[in-house]
Amino acid sequence: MVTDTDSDTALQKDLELRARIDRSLRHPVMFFFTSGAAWLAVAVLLGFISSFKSHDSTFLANLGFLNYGRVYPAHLTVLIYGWGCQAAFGLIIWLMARLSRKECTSVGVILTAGHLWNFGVSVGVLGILAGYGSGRPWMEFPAAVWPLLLVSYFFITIWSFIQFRCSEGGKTYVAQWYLVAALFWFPWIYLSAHLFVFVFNGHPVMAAGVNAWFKYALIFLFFTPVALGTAYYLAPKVTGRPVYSYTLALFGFWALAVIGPWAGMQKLAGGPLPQFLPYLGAAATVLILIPALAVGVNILLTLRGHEAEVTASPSLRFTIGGIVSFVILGVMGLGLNTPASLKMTQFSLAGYGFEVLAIYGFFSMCAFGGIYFIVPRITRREWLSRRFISWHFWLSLYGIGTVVVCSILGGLFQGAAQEAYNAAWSDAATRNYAYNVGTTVAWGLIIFSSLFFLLHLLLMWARLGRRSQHPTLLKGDHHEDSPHGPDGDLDELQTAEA
Amino acid sequence: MDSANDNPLKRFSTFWVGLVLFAAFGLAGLVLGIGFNKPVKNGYDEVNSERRETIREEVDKTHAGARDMADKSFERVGAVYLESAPVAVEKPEFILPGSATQLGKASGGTGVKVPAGFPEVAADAPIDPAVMAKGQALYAVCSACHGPNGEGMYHINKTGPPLADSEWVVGPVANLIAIQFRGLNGTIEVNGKSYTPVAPMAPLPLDDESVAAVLTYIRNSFGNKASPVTAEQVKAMEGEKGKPMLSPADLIPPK
Amino acid sequence: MTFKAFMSALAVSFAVPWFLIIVVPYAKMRDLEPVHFEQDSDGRDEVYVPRRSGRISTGSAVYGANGCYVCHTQMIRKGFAGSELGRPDWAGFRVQDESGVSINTSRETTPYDFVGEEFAHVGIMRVGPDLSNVAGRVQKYLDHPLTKADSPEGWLYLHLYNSALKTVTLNNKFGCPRQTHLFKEQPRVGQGSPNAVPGLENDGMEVLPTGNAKALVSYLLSLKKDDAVPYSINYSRDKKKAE
Repeated sequence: MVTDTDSDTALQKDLELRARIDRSLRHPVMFFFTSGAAWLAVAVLLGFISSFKSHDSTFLANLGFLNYGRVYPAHLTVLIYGWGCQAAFGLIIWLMARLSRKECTSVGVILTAGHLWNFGVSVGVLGILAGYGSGRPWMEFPAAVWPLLLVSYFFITIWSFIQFRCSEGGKTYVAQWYLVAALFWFPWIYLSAHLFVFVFNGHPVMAAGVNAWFKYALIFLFFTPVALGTAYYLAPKVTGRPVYSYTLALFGFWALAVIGPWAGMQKLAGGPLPQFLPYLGAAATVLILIPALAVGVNILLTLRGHEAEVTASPSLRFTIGGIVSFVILGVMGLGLNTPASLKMTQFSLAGYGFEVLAIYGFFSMCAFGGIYFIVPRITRREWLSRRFISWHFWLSLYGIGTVVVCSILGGLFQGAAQEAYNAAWSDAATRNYAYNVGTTVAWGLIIFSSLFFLLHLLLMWARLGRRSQHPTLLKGDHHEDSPHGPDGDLDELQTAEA
Repeated sequence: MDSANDNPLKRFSTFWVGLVLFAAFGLAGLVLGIGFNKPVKNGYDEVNSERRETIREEVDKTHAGARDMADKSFERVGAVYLESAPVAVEKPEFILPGSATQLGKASGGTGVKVPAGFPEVAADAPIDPAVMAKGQALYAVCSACHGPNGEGMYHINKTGPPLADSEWVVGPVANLIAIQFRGLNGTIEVNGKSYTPVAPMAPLPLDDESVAAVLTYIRNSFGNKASPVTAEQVKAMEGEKGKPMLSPADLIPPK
Repeated sequence: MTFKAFMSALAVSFAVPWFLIIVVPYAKMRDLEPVHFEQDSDGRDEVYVPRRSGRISTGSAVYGANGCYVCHTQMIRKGFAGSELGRPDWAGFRVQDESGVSINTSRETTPYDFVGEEFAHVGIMRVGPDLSNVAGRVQKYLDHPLTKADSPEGWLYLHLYNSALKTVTLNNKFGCPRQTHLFKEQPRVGQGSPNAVPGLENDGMEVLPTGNAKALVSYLLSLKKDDAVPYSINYSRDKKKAE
């Protein structure tokens, strides 16, 4: 960076280090973001198709591989493992490298492992569509795929752990707690759930129970901490002020760590297994509101007084969207899992709405915030179009809002009709028509937003971004006396200075 | 501050520590689960065959005990059956061979029969006082059930009916002699009253003179007045000896 | 806090629930002991043997691979958790028992109801009805005057091929999607194949179920979970004992 005074040598060195870190991270992180965004487009398309089929079974009915029973699992697994995990990997790698002040030295291994991950996901989703799915929700990839994914995971993320342990700075940031925790929680959950469901011989109902636990454990103990880590990095970074309350951050983290692992088995409430299991799961999902509120308050108060930055910065906008979605997720967790409402939501669209809110509304929005921040730094280009970003944001927001209203609330109504056992079943079955249509509309909106995002990201990946030091902001024009210094390509300016 | 300055040993050790930590719960699951992979046994066949065995043992025990009980009970039932008195039969085909009824019928019935040539004694024949005295002495035995004054002990212990004012006593002599030889069992009506003694009258093994004496005595005591009984009469009735016990239906009806 | 303290706390906060809700219940449910009927509460003295006949293992895999569990559940919940016990023909049927008394065989799902399967297809949503007793319902549907099928297998093949074809459809508008990939069409030669699904012939073509379809239908016809269970695992016990 061009500075006027040379006395800030330490600062200069730090900036150079950061630039070097960014340069080293360019290929792995861009790989994960771009391939993740491509998977996102596929996932959203599959989600649109499956939602369309839920209210019109003649849609694409002649394509047997797109049967509802195959396209729904394919949609969810691509969303989770194709987009969600890869976005998380990109964020973890970049954030950990920056926060630990370490360059990435294992680019080759990470890229190989990333390609292996892609290969696994491709084989998995093609296997599901071809009729070789395993029938276990969120674990539908054919049984040979999961060890491959686990090994790839190890070779992608172990370097971040090494960077963390070898970092020389004394301070550990809040974001790092979340990222380190996520690094370990994923294999703990993934490996033990797959062992219990696929490998060990156990009771079929308990296998279903572990599978139900895996779903929520993945949401609360992998996607949530990665998103929160990104939010805890971005909010202080962009506004330039520290996190509002360290104690609250500590409390929020440990509350998540203690409450999260219990959640999930409420899918089997009333079922043939010891009943304390599902009701503990329901209670834990209700209590997730506590860390959600803690984090929400913390981050939003960090941003208080900086409305200008919030309006202008894409990263902050998406981050706020994500954090507010997290709070809404906590409230929904409370609303959908009380004993009275659990009856109605257990087997209705509300569960799907909750999962989409968690993966897209919360995790993906925070991830977008991170991506909009990170990509310019590693490609040394700026985003091309503020309109694309704006449309991406607003369409996503409308999509999530529609999901909350139609899927979650619609699911509640559907569940209430299901519980009226004296009425004919067709009453409950047809009750959901409008809400299914609404969910399809939501996915339609999200398709468009994803297309803008994917296009934009591909342009950046192809290094066609704007050559400028001025970040693309959602408001304000370029000034000559901008705090970012004169406008122009970074490399050219540095050459000119030298 | 770039990675080239890291202690390579630290990086190496962190790599393996990381691997172990990543796999921690998977390894724990495998360690706990190594016992999981035994084939789930089908418990039903074993349990069912165990229960069949138990049930079979119990049934066998019950059967053996029942056989025991059946054997023993047959003895008891048979003994009780044999002890019980036969019911009076009405149809000739019900009479068991060798039974008292059949014997009685074979020997011409159980009724008292006056034999041909039974000596008659006039109603006002003289009574020998020596015979009366002998009869009175002998009556002491009879008084146990028939009372010292012939009033009967029935009202005290339901044993003997009264001999006083008894139409049987003053009635046909053959009855009295037959009773002495064969005994009497059953409900008898004396002087308008019905008596069912608890124990039958047993035949007494007296010689002819003694029987004649005691019968003369009772026929001429307690307000009775009838002809004396002679030893010849008693001797004439000796065909009654050995016959089954009498019942009141077998007696010749007194006029 | 130091890294060691952080990792220990993280491990403990994960290990406690992992152990208590995953490992211990999984281990205990592995070796379920057989349950006995008792003389005084059930009127007989024998072991409860859950029996299912049909191609359960293969059929269950086909069921999962085709995503039937997305729209159908297989869990009758206990009364405090849901009301499907009361829904007619879901949890059981009105039948006459040996002495001619009309009884309701409805009961909740027991742990023994998934015998033969590796994974209990509890289900995600109830777009279609619960399938715990579908075999019994199909049998009843055959008695409907407008039914086109003549056997339970035939009815289910019709449902899978095109759910609008069978007459007793509760949800004609958005019924079960057509699972045509489970069938194959071939020209009809002579009298046709004995395996062809009756009711689907047209234009000289006949429709045969594939092996997957046969396994799936066999599995679906094994789904009748309303047999008498011992009092000790009968969760609607107060009602049942009084009956």
